[in-house]
Amino acid sequence: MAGPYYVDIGSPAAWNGRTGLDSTTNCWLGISGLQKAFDTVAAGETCYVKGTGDLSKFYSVAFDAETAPHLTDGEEVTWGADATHGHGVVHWTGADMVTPVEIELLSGAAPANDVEITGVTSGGKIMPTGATVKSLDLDTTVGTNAGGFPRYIGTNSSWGVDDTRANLNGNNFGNHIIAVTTAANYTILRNFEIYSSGGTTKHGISGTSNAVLLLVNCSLHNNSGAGCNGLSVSSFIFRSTSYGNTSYGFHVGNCYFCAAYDNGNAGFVNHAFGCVSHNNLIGMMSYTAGAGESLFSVLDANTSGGIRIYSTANVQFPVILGNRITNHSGAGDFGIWGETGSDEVFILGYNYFGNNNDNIADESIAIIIPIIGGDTTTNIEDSAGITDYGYVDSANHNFSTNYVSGTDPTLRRTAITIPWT
Amino acid sequence: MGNYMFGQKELPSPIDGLIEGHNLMQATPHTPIYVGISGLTFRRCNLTNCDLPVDAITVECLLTHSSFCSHLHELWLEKGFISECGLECTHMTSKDVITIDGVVVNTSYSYADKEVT
Repeated sequence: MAGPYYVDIGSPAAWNGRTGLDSTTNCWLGISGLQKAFDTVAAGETCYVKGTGDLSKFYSVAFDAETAPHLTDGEEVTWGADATHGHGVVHWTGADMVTPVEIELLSGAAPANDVEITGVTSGGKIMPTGATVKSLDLDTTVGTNAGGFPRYIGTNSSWGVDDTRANLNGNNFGNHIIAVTTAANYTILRNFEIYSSGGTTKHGISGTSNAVLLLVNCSLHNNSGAGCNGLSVSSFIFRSTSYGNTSYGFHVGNCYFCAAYDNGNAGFVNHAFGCVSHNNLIGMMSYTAGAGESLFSVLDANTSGGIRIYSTANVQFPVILGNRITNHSGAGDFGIWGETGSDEVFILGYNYFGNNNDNIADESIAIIIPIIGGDTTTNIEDSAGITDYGYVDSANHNFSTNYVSGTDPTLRRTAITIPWT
Repeated sequence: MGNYMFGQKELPSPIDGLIEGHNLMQATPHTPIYVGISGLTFRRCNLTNCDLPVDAITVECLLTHSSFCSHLHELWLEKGFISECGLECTHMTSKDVITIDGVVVNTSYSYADKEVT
């Protein structure tokens, strides 16, 4: 097992001859260096990443002619003159260099059709047919139980691991920022900020064929699609945020202790545990096909409602337990409601509802967990005279309940007895 | 941080010229916002379909213009945030017509939002 590897994405420059295996003279550089890492790091290995990288400088360059030798991976390349002049860093993978290669622009004009590109070190040349901005591709290494998972960890400027994030700035380049496939299943991304994809319906992280990722302390914001989209229900996301995206906050995956807010669609889809969903179009969408769950989360002040249930032909039950579903007070807004015209059975109990236009759209199809020894609901609905709905300071995004023993216990805490016989 | 999409609420007032962490997305491309106000800096905002004052500075914002299809955004349409599109709107990407014995029995459409300049 090799590593750890190091990538300084904030210092783009040629990195040919570097191994990536130390944090000084051998670290890989720039977005092209991070792509090199994505193509290299094996199962169980770790790669540390620092700085801010600009995805708008990262191109896929197709070519239809070449003069030997091959360009050297990571070398500086130059092209053109005057208005067409530019230089960058090239990256390619595999045993043989084939079209297209990847070039990170360092300065000048972008690579262009019929403007020959020359390797500064190798002297090799290619004749491009065009250049388009591209995503970082996470599609090479699958984590395994035996070998471990590949890990990419953002660091501070001194390579220290705290909660400082490495920044992947799409700079409105019009593409997904990271495109992940199942060929990179069980990869861990920790301490990354991924934002400003630009374009239309371009995600911070875009998964194909339900790729499996583990995210820890990541922030996905202001993307024209979702923060992350298309990840498998087997993905796990811890202590991360997704905000200000045009579409979803977190689309699928199991989210623990995350916050999704100010998104144009649902904050979460299918699985949220101990999360906050605030000021999105919908707090959470729950598909019966995926047997979604919303457990011990806050769903507050979302434009259309708290939790929307979508049914399929399968009979499966979304489980909605221990949530605070509050402040969906607009006309026609619900705490929980189903897709129009369908019957969506769901299980709920131990939830607190407050200041919703209607707490539950159709209680006749809900399976409500009763209190022990009785037949009444375990949900608390619309406690009289309450204006803060159990939150310390929701206006300043403090949704903690600040439980104090002996004061309003049923508003802020509900005991659940575990049976033994 | 707040959600001011589609003009649901009055736009937030700048604080010392700074507008930070808000979703200010508008329904139609090139919608002017903060008209006549100079010296603004937008940081970490969703500025989809916004035209800003000419001297505005943007930092880590989403800057794009998109034409949204109501067939893809039923809740936005339901809330009145966007206008309803016709069946063969400009967002249509494909149309499949099934005919049996010369009779059209089914027509299915595909749509996509469009980036605009």
